[in-house]
Formats: sequence, C-alpha cells, structure tokens
Amino acid sequence: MKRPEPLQAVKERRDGALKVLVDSVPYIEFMNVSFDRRGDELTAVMAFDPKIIGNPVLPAIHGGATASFLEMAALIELAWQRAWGPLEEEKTDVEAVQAAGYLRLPKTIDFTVDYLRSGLPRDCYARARVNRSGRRYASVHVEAWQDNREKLYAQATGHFLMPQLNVDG
Amino acid sequence: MKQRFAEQNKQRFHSACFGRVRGCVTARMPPIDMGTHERPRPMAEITQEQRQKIAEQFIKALPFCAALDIRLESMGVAEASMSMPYDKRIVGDPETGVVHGGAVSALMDTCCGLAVSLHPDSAKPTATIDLRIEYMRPAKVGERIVTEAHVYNATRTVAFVRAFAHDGNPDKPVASATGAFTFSRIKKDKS
Repeated sequence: MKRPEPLQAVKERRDGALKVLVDSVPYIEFMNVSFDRRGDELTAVMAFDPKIIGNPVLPAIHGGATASFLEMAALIELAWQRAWGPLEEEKTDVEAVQAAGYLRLPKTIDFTVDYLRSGLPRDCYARARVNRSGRRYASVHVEAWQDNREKLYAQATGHFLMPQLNVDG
Repeated sequence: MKQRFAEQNKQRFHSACFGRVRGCVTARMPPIDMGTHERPRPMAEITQEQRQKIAEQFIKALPFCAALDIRLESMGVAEASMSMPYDKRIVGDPETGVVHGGAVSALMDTCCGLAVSLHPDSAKPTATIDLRIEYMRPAKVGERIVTEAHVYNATRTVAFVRAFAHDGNPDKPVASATGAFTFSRIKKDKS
C-alpha cells in the first residue's frame, strides 16, 4: 500500500511555488500585497497603507491602486492554476516546475475595472476566477471586497497572453 | 412588508437630505423683488485658470501619486498630460524589467480624472466608474511613461474619456485607455 505524502512536504512544495511566483514581482511588495493560500484557493490581500490613498478628503483608496491589486490577483491566480497540475498531480518539485516555465507570469492584453464603491481606508481582499485558459490566451474575472464578501467594492475582467512553456505540453 | 416600509423611509430620508440640495438652497433664499432672479452658481464663475490651479493642488495632495512619483506635464481644456518615471520597485516582469501594468493603470486613471475636472462644465470632483486599459507593447526599461487624456464627450452625469500612454514617441503608444467617470454639469441659466 502506498503511504500518503507527509503533510510537511506537501505544504512546502505548494508554499514554495507560490513564493517563487509572488517574490518575482517587485510591484507586489511595493503595494503591500500578499497571498493567502487554502489548498489551491488563493485570496489576495492588500494591507492598507496611507500611501495608496487617492482622495485625501474622503479618504478613499486610489483607483489605480485598486486596479493594480486586481491585476496582480488575476495574474498570480492564472499562473498558480497552470502550475497546480504538474505540482500536485505529478508531484514535481518546485525547481523542476520553475525550469519548465510554469512559474512565469502571463502578460496582460487588456484589463477592465468596474469601480462599484469607493475603497475605504482598510484592508482589501480579492479572489480571481479563471473563466478560460487556453494554450495562448486566458480570460480572468476578479472580485474585490473589504469588510463584507457580499458587497464588492470593485471587480475586473482581463485577457492575458500565456507564456510559452519550455517543454512540450 | 415592514422591511419594505423601512427601505422606502430610508430612501425618502436620503432624498430629503441629499437629493434636492439645490432646491433647498433656492427655497431658503429670501424673495428678491427684481426682474432678474439670480440663482446661486458656486462653480459657474470659475475661470479655466482657477480650475487648473485647483486641479494642480489636488493632484499634488494625492499620496498615491507621490508614491509613484507621478508628475503633472500639462493641462488644457478637458485634457491633461502626466508622466511617471521608471522605478525598480514598480517592475512587474523581473525577466525583462518592464513596469507592471497596474502602475500604468494608476497613471492613466489619475490623468483621465484630471482631464474630467478640467472640463469647463464640471461642477464637482469626479470618480472613476469604469476604466479599460489595453496594453499594446511593453514599455522600454528605464524610460519615463507619458500619458495624455481628453474628455471626448460629457453628458449631464457621465464623462467619457480616452487616453494614450507612450515612452518617448507619441506615435507608438504602449497603452490606451477608455473610461467612464462621474460628472455633474454646471447648471446654466437659460437666457
């Protein structure tokens, strides 16, 4: 009988791959964005910082900061989902997955942000859903909220160009 | 039923407080026994020069623009130009060193908003309803990104804006943007 993989090894592999993805983008750190992982589900978190304020009178988060946050959430989710297959089904280690080109980020073709409410000066959360991911192109929808999951403060849809893999997939 | 009543009441309260502000102001004014009845027009007298000064001060007070080092280039009637320098901290693709699309979005969003507030009929500060950005090609590493925005149509409630961004040559844009912004038009007296 095959023994299940030790929990620690599974977690290390998943968190390691996510870390490679997130750490590769300086702008994610600049915006104080982190990714919370539960199994394969990712939640992007943008910690509030006074520097992301766009309207000091209200105050409200800058629309550009929200757009940046949503775009990051979409890009990481897209790359993460594509890497999940080789990572989990074939149990490949992080280095090999990276060498195959799975941890390279897609490129944004277009991105449409729908501003539903003004962003309050507190933390933001976002979850992305890949609606279609082909060999070349992908379409992703992202939803962002602050205090209440039911009350979205922004949502976005974008199209992305997938990076070519180093192996024949 | 009870809930519905509460909702209606809430709406009534809301419109009483915020809905007809203009009407309230006129109603409270003492009657004037003259041929011409002057209605209060707080923003109508504003000149384009004053408008630009207010806009400039507003942009300078934005913390996020300061964080990205966004600079105001020029202002015109319903149009504006802004730029953002290259910075390693805002890189999105480490392999090439190209700036993250989100930072370009922030630049274009601000510039579009500024163009709206420079519209001669704009009465109130604006907010983005929707912004679509198309990324045509990666911006050159190390180059300043310049964006130009103009309001090509404004209704009573919405301003439609177009913007382009380039990294030195305006004929070769790196990105384009289309946006809808909230807009409230200055009420003009019919004469």
